[in-house]
Amino acid sequence: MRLTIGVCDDEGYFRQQITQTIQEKLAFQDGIEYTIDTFSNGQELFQNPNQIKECDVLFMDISMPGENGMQVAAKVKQQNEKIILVFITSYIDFAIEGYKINALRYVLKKDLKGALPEAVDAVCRQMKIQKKELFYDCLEGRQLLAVPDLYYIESKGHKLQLNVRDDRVYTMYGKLDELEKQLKDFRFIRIHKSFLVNYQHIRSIKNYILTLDNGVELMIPRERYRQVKEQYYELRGGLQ
Amino acid sequence: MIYIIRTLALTLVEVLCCRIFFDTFLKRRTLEHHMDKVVLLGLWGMMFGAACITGMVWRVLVVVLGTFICTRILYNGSFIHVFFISIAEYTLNLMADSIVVFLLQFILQVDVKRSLPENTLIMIMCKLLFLLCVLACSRYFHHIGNLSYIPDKDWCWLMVFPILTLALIAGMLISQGMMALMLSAFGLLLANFLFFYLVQDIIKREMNIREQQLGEIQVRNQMQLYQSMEANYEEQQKKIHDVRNQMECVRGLLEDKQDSKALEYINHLYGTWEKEGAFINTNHAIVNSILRQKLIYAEQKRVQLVLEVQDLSAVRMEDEDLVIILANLIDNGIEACERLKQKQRVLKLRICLVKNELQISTQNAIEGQVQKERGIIVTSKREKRKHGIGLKNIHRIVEKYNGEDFIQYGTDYFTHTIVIEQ
Repeated sequence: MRLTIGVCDDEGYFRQQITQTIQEKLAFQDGIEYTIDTFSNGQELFQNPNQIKECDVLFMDISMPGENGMQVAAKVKQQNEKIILVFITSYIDFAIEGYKINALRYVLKKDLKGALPEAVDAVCRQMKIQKKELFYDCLEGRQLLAVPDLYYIESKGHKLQLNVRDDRVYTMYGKLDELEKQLKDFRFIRIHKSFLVNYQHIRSIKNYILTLDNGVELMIPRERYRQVKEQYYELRGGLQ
Repeated sequence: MIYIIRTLALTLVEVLCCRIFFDTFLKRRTLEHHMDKVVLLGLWGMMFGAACITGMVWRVLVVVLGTFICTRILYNGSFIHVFFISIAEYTLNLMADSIVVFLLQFILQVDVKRSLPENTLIMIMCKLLFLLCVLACSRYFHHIGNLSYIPDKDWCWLMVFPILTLALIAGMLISQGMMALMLSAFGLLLANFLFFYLVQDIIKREMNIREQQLGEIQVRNQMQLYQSMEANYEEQQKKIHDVRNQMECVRGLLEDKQDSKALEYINHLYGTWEKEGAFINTNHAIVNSILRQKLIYAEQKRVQLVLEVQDLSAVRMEDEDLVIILANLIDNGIEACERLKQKQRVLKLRICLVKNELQISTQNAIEGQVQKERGIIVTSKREKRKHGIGLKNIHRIVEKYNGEDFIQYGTDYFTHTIVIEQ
């Protein structure tokens, strides 16, 4: 897995500290190649438009002169909605608006050595899922699908229907049990003997109905309901 | 003489059974100066007198009339109501007698017209069966008594004693000599064991009650703690407003070129702020207050608290309930982390409102297996008697709000999620 990491802090000392901590942590992670780019403010970050689009994760200081980290982050999200944000801050003084940015972590500067490695772990876990791509031999031809793009898989007789982002549907021969095994580390929940659902696209589970981000509703059988809910909340409770 | 003692004892049993039977269906009057005991003594005397009457019809009349008069004095109830209950009580008494005689004579082939000691055994059996019937009535038709509060399991335990006694007496009647003695000895041995288990059960229930009381004390203490925390929080808010004035002071010092004094003052302020701890705003004063307190607590215990929170102003729960849930969840998590190596000491806490659903969850690493006893998670803390109450309190509140409680664990993690509809 290849990661493009950005570090944005106006203070050189913290830029260096953050970079060093990330490097130390990633040295223990197998199969991860990475590059770290450092920026001292928002202006530098936006100088090259491709920079933001290629960036996978951005470690961002909140209190910076000029545009603060929150404002910069909001703009970054507009250009690259998949980017993972980790805020680095001197004080936990979260404004309510800050929650809308949906950062993966807020790390306190005074606890950089203690909290940043956990945040890097969380980033790696998230990226492992986000970057995972699998080949499927479909009736429509061989397809390379990113795991986060898979919404749910439906079993119909001997065929499997892969429901993907933008309402695309691919069909292939296979067994749902085998696909469930293949995707077990990527947070998929078997809600029915014929349905395997990607946890990250579940909007809600209520009254035996599972609703996905795209509005699709799937029925959960009564005997599986409690188990599905338990799995769902277990994944939610673990944060990301 | 033996005949008199026997009659006195048996009629006393009848009077006591009468009392239980009437307590089941009627409401007691409040009588002065132990008047009720005097009336019951009178009833006993009357029953004893009736037992001495040889004519069956006269005996029935005296007993029913005597019972009726005493009941009218002791209980509230209409004339007809009391009359019918008196008749019913006597009928039940006669039915018990008839059943015992029928069982002994036709099923166990015992001659019921025997000498006095054997006849007494039969009479005791009759009264025992009568007592059983009266107790059963009291349990299933009660309005006033306490027997209906006994759980089914305990009720069965309680019934074992009269049934065992009945079986023993029947055994003594059909067997003879040493055999009868052996039977009664074994019966007593069995009764001893049963008594031991019954007492053990009672002790267990007493302990549960004690635990509940302890839980209530813990809840009360927590409420006091968080009330004081809330006061501290307000105090801090006031201090934040003071910052503006303090900055003015720094500017004044710098304008007067008193740089060293300004630096000293800034250092002093910085130290004060550090001590005051972190501030998280969720738009919910109680949640803010708990999080602030628990962040400091986690830091002291060298546990990293990773939070996912959002605007919680729409949370609709009573403050004390929210306090109990959050405080117990976080405390349990921190205590579990304390048993881990420094690198693993991470407690993840998530408090979010998703589509009118309040989701609160904690996840932490664990060492070793989660212990369960009869499906309930057992505390791994040292002082077991004082703990385990936290989880029970959480369950109680979740039930109160018709919420759901999910506990998931593997070999190395433990997740506790609470979902409450808002």
